[in-house]
Amino acid sequence: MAVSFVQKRFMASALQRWAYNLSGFNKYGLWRDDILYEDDDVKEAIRRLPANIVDERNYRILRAVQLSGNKDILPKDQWTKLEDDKLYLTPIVKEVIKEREERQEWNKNY
Amino acid sequence: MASNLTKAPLLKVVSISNRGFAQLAPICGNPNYELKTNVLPSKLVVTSAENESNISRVSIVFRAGSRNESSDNLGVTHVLRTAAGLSTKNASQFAIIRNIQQVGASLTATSDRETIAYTLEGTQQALEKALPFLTEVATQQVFKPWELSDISNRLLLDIATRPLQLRAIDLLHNAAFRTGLGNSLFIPKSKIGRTSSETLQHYVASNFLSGRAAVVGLGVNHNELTQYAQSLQIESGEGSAVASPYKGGELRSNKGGDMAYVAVAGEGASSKCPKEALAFAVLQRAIGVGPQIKWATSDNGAFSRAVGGACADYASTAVNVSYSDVGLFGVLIAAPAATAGRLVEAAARLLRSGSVSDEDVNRGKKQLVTSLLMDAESGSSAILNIGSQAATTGAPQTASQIAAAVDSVSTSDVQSALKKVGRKITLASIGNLSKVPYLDELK
Repeated sequence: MAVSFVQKRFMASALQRWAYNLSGFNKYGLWRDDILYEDDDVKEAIRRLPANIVDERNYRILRAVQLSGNKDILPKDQWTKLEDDKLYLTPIVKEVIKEREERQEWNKNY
Repeated sequence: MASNLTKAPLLKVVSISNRGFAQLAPICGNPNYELKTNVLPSKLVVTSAENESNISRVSIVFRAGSRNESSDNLGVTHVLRTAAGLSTKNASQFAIIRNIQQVGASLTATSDRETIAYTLEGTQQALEKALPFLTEVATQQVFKPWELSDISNRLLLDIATRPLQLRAIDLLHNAAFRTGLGNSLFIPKSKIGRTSSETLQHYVASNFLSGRAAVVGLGVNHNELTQYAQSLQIESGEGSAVASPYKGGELRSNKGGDMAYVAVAGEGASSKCPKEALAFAVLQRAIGVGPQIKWATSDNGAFSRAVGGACADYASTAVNVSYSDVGLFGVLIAAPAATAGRLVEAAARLLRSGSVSDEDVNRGKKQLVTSLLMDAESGSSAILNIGSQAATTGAPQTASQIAAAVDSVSTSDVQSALKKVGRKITLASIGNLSKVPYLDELK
């Protein structure tokens, strides 16, 4: 049981890493949360980020735009690794969505 | 997430139909009630009274007023009282506001130099529904950073709309006590937007303790209030209390304009000695707290007579505040810049004179009894009063009990109170100070 659990975890992470590298945005040095579509929920979530995190995010996006304009990608040693890619925005977006749904629920009832 | 908070009422309030009425109570409730007080093992004080009012009130009070601020977190209590109603651990800002509005209750945060009180008021049914939100707001704060930055404008508005007489009293405290009780009730402008979520959380963790707390109810059942108090998640402990002795001095803030606002004061009584505090309260009325008749200009107090007919266009009131270890007593004057000098000299002479006439003391006693009983008629002010007494002394008294003790104050008590004030004078002034004398110029 324990062995199969370890195996499963390993397979999942190996599959995840393969899919992550295949997706390609990591070659521009981007993180997963950098490429979220900026709807109102995400905009609100970005507003709630600490200033230094927003600066880092903007830097990565600018660098990616620059690279894309030059039809270039980063040297391979600077590609984002799955381990370094932290979900810094997703938990906040989830919270924002939950708050929005609470408001909508209220407006339906009253 | 927050909506299921309303489903489990923690406190059932006595419904009107359960009460046996010997006679019909007035709408404001019967102001002549008996307080029941008990202390939980966690040292939390629970006080309540059944006043037969249609409006029930519950207040959670912490001994965490601005005197507990240090130079690092100056103004944190102002942010705290403005932050009441922001998202908490289990309820969002939206849920708190809408649920309380929906049942027609009212939640307020009030703070002074000793205490912060979170008070919920409403009909009995409303209180039942809104009580979980009072618990959340008073004990489960989280202070989300983005919500805090959103209230910065509110703080700016608060300090921009302070009237000058209020700032004179703030300056007076600052001059008289320097630190501790000298801290303002308002945040310094330079600190707005710089009070972080961590600062607030640390302040709450070190001051919102059960040994510094009281739960007070008016128009609620005492046993149920005790159960509610037991269910509150408040960290146990006493925290630290820093004494703030009277030091005295002078502060001037020359702002220009046409008017001068000057507070002249000396040391008053602490609320630990009720007899002395009562003598000071009588002295306040003897010196005069402004006209008792609407649109009248003079109040026939000792101060108005000391000024004489020389200048008519001024307003004055005697100021008397008692804190847990020290007090402040004096006169607050608002006057056109040109005449302020003479008024301040008259006030200082009066405070140093050390004598009050029997007539003034008798009038003072009668006015004090009236104002004590009138204040008790308003449930909002009564619960604040009882709450701050419960949090600071642990044994609150009703206004009628205090009023009954007023008679025992003698003229010599009042005179020794005035002598104590005159020992060391503090002067604080704001506005156009061209004619306001300095402290060392007052004879």
